[in-house]
Amino acid sequence: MTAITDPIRSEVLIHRPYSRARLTAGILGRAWLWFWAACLAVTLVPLVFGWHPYVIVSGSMEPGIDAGDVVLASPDPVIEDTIGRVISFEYPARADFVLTHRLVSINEDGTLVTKGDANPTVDSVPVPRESVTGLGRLLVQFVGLPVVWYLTGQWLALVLVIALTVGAVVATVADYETDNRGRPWRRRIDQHQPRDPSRLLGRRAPSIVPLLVLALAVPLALGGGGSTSAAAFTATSANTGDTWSVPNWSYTDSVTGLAPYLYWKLDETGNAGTASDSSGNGRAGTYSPNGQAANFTRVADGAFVTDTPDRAVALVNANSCIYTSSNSAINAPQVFTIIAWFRAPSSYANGGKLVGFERPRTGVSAPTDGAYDRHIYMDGQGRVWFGVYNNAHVALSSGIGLNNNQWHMAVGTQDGSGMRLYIDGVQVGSNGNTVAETQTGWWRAGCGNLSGWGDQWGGNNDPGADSATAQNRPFQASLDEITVFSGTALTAQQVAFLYWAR
Amino acid sequence: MAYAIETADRRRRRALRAATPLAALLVAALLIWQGSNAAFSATTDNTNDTWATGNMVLTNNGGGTTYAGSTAALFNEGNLKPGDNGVKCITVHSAGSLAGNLRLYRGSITGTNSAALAAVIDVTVDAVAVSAATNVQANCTGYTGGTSGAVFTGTLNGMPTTYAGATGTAVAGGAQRVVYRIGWTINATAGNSVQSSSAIANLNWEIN
Repeated sequence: MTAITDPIRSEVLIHRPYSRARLTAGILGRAWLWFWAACLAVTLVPLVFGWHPYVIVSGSMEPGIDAGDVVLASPDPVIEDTIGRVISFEYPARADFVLTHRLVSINEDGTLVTKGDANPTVDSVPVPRESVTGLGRLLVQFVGLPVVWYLTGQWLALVLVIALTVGAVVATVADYETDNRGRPWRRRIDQHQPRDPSRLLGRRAPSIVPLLVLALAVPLALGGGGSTSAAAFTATSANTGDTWSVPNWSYTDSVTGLAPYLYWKLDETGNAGTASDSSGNGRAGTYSPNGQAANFTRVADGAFVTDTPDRAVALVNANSCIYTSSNSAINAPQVFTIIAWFRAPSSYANGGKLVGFERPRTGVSAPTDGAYDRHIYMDGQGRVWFGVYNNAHVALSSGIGLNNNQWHMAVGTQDGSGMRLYIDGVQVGSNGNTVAETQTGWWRAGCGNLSGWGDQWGGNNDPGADSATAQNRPFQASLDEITVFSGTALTAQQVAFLYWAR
Repeated sequence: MAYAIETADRRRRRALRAATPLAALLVAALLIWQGSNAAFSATTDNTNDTWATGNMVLTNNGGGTTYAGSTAALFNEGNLKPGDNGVKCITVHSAGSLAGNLRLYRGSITGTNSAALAAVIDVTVDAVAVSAATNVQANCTGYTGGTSGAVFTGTLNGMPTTYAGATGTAVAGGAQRVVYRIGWTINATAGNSVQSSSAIANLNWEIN
């Protein structure tokens, strides 16, 4: 290297000879810069025409599209012509999530079925047409990799590519030669020589072009020109046809399924004198004094409409009653359930016995030679009681006002854990009494002795005001679905279910 | 000192420098053309499942021992009444090479009067990852997750119906299994208007 003085410009020029290393680095640098510049230009120039570049950030479209590729999508595709092609769309199942997948088919409702090529199943949510943002046209590979690295935190790769680019710039700029007088090749020596093509593309000045593209690309990409799109891996699996079903429960079938001791549905018509037993045990009742209209009204709207037939009876006379037909007395059970559905007009203030265990079989007698407990009765204020006799009157009661012209279900149970009273499937009272009077007798419905009971009676016919102890207390209103379980106390859940199944 | 003479060597070097950008542009153009062609050609070949070598595959055991993409109903609960309940387990197997996020959601509910019934079916779902050799069946024997992995509590109606709405369980790459324990109760306060009803739904798992 020789230092000389330019006689015209009075500068010290240094002759810089050819170096193979500089040339190689310069060529590689130029290739690197121009390659990226070309890719970026292709990515960004279509923005002018309304196309949209998407950096693909995941790989469900492999092998065609890899993460880091840029898809250029043209807007407003004709959907019908794009089946089998790749579209970008806002995926409805995820907010702000652009997906680039293949359009597989169109549903009857016009929504689109899409799928990633590398996915085993189609995307789980159909895509509305208006969510489609573009049709894939051009794929520029690799150019979006820095974005993916940035998003996934692969900083080493990101730094490496930036370093490589800076190195390429340095290598390109450094790769020049001077003539023997130290003048760069750019300065023509012989103006008569033909123009050298390298004037345009050869060296430093042209190297500015890729740098400009690179410099423009970053703000353009950041300024909303480009965005990312997922080509998300996905797979689905299904367990099909899981079923929960509730049948049309029959109250009657549900009761008989619980094996009652007797079950008088009171669905008889006309002058029928026998209340048939639906328990299957043949424990029929007798309408007394007979089944004629003077004593019993056959009610057409029974306890619940799903009963078939939906009928009940109303006791008309003060001596109307339903007795067990059999003459054979039984031992009263200590574990039992009694059920009565009842409806009393709101003006009804006489109270009376709905169902109970009593001796004698018919009529009433004084407490000294008869017996009566295990009964459900209504008092003069429409309050319902469930009582047994255990050397004292032990009774549970509901609130007042059940004489409201509506059907209600009263259930009394006793077992080793005590007594419970339920109204309309809900427990309203309980105690720890486990013993009722030891006696023999018969079940009956609609009448009986209540002497000694009814300490909060109110209304008419208060047993506490009786002078005579052998006084009949008929329930002169409607009764239905009289049921007795012997040896079984229904659980709260069973009672609730029966009421629900009505 | 004489004017420098541009030698043949120097001309060659200058031509090389000039040709480099052209070559780079050519390579870029070729790559773009080739890549676009491969990705966007509308041939049916490309719509074929390539998932045999794919990265996510999901199956479930349907509460039994055989894993399949689609299995028969785990729940077939009939003759229900308020207060009835049950718990069953089902194991989901991910065979993909990638890590992902596994979520359970339901399909649309069909059946008779199904909306009313599905509103009174209370559902709780717990999910716990197990080893790839563990197969928990419908009776939940071997389920050890307790309730630590609760992913849903609500009604069948309220279960998420999309991947986005569901709570996820992280699943690593490779063969992985997640056991879902699904409990249901017919709400005790259900009115008797839900008699003669049925609710039928698919349980869908998706991994992304």
